[in-house]
Amino acid sequence: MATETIPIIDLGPYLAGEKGAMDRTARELRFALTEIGFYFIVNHGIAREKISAMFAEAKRFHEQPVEKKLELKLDQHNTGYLPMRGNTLRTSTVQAGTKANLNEAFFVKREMAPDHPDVLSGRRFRGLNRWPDLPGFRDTVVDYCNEMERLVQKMVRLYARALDLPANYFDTAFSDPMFSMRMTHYPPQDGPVDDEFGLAPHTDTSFLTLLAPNKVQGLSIRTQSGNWIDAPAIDNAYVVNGGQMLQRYTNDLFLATPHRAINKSGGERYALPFFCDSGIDWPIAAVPTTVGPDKPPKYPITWYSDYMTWYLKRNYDVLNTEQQAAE
Amino acid sequence: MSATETVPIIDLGPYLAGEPGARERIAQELRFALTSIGFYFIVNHGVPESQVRGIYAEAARFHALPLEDKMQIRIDRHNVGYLPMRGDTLRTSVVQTVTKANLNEALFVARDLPADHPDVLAGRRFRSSNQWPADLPDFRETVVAYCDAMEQLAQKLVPLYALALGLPAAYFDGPFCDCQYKLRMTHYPPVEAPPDDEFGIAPHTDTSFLTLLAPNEVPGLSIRTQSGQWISPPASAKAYLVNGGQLLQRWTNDFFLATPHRAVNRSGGERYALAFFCDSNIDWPIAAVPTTVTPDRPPKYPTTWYTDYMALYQKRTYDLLNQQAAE
Repeated sequence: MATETIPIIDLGPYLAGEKGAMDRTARELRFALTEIGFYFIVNHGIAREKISAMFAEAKRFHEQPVEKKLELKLDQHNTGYLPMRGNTLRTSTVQAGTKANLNEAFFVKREMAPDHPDVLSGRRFRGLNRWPDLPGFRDTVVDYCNEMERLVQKMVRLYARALDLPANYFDTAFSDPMFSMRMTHYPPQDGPVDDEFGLAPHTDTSFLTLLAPNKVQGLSIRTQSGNWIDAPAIDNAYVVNGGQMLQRYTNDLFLATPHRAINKSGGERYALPFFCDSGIDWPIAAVPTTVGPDKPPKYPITWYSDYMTWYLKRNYDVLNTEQQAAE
Repeated sequence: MSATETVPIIDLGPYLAGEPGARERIAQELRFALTSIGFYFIVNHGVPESQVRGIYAEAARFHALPLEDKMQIRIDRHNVGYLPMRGDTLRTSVVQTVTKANLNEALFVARDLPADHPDVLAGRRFRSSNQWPADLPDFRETVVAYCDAMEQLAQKLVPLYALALGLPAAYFDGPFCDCQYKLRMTHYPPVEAPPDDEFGIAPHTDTSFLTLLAPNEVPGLSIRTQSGQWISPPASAKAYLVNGGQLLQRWTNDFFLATPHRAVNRSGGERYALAFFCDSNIDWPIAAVPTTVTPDRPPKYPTTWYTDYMALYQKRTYDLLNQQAAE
């Protein structure tokens, strides 16, 4: 029952608290996540101005001189600046990626207080963000991340219902979710040179990814039939997909669909994916409605830090160089 | 897994006072208790002795009512109300074949839902209004206040269960929000020399996630240790006795024990017992937590739900209900 079309889910009635809307929307979500692994959301409640302000900040950031950006080079928490060709998707389950990705990106995580115990203890993935010297940049980005987090916290109730779980099933798991805001710049590209992509085919690691509405196209996804289709431009719609953590949470009931990006627009392209996961201490394992005595969990239990440490070590050349330098 | 022939005593004081490190230390004690014998005492639990005395007084007052009065609130399909002497036979016992009815009478009280609660209006099973005796002033208030105290205590205990299972402390917060519970206010008449297979309450395991048995100066309870011995935990005027049941086994994939126990009142006088059975929210799935399953150790039990499990259990156990159903 796979589909070749990315479904559009209207969140309006659910967010307005209309009777019956939650379960109806959850059924649409279940269809999307079992048949294609991607969906659009409209009437999501995020103001257009906030989205355009974020695109403006992404542009402003990447227009800085590279030396300036390199002062914030990606650290072990995976926050900061990832230069062009800084990562190679060796973990890709989709195809053997050998060439580095043709994009540069700035990563932001939750803005932690300097005296937070996790910051003080140097806990990995719970460090302080590093900010460029650009007035207003930090406020805009933090505000946008807050908006994304609140939207995710509303959406996980639909995920719970889509899995036949009580609506609040994921509430505690997502009360202090892990997230990573990737502010990406894709320079113009004529077409892939052999296997060079803006972003090579891959699946995300996330429970869910919220990709901001984009006027410049570039994303393609691989459907269950193996076709690569281009995500259509839909005004003010977020593109949402799940990743490897969602597969683990659902014992592969929900898909992590491969996707890639190539910027053939002739101009600069920016993209704003917000990757969201459960709290750093929450176990990542199949929910009860997806396992049973005859259907054991396919994956051993894992934890955000363990999984991401493994993933980043394999994919981020820039991090590995630094680690070697430190050794 | 080591077995013990002694019921451990766990001092909750340091944990309830918020002493650093106490929570983790006590969780280890809990883990030992629940893997080695399945019962433990708690001291410094914060429930005032006066409140315990008060609820015993109400139990005695209730059972002193004429039988006709008690039969006015005979136990219903929600399992609230009065269960007369010999009203149940523990056919579901996994411990031994039981054919004789139990020599006790009991009043069952659940969460005191308001008459206009949606579940009450819908007639949802196990979510009814309580049945209260007429003409017992303050009975209801005292019993409801005691149930509130027990619920609060259970909610303080579940973070210890989470830590004992290698889970984040907040893991059970969601499932134990608006938890299901039953207070069983039992009267055991004195028995001189009971026949072999007649018990105040026959050997059985509870169904609960946890049972809080009020401090009792009148002995009568025995438990069967892992070695197969029956031992009588010491009577205590201060310590609650806590144990897990079949649903705890399911939550932990049999990692935690549901230890068989029985009661015979040879004290020569009346004996009252106050067992508070506590389970997760009625809509929460009951299944093995992630730290107790792996691809090689799949869940032993299919996912179940409070209502399904209890409906089956009660059908087999309560003669009275079946008679009513047959009528």
